[in-house]
Amino acid sequence: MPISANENIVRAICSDKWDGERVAPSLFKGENTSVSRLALIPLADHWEMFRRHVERPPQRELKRLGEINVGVLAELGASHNPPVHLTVEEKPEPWNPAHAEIPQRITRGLANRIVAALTLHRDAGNQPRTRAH
Amino acid sequence: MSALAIFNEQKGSWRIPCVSTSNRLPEVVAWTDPGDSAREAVLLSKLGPRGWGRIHEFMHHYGPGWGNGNRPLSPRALAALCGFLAGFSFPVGITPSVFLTDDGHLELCWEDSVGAAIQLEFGPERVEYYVESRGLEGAIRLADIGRLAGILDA
Repeated sequence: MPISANENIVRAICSDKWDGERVAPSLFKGENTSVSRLALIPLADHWEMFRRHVERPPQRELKRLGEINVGVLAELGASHNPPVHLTVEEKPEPWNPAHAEIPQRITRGLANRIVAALTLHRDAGNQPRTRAH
Repeated sequence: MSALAIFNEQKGSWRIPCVSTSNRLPEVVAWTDPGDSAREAVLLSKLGPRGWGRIHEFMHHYGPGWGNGNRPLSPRALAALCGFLAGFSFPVGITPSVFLTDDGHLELCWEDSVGAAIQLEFGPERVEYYVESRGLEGAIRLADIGRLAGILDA
């Protein structure tokens, strides 16, 4: 079931997709992109949950959480050439009941626009937010 | 943690320190195979210590199934990247970023003189390219990789 345009979602950004300077556009390229819903699990609680699931091998570290509004995501798809009807579908997993997916195929060009629209969060709460670009 | 590579003439290989962004793991030192020296020199000169160290981390630590069932680095993708880098010069002052995709490809990203994105994704069969300033997005076979610099410069 599609989730509301009012919701915000986050995607884990690990060290294979972040080198301290840039975010990899392939973060959103392709199909069935995994995201997580902040309406169900607060941002602060995502860090430990994601770490347990994604930090394999241990050299792969969770570096940032990239947040975007579902309505903004849909607008980016609709305004792209050619337009893509982007949705976010509920897909809870045992390790993450807030898990969801963007099922549509996202091209590199559109992925670049999505990455640029992300709000990047660092761990430890007190760190300032930064934009991806 | 040192980011310096040291070439050992007796061994004929490079001493690779860990150049990871990790601050949780102990320093790791490895030696390249002697036959890899030319490749190491190209990677280091074109990608800098950060990019070079990341590729080594991808090679040596990201095995089958890394993350959540992803593919390890494709040796053909790495060879294609090295072949491209050997004949390509980035603009002065530009050091590209290198990433590992979930499919085991290598992704190279930098910006042109006006800040528009240029991106390449090296896979085992082809290279995908994206030139933001011209809205150009496509792919060429590895056999045609010699055309890639021309596409980027056109």
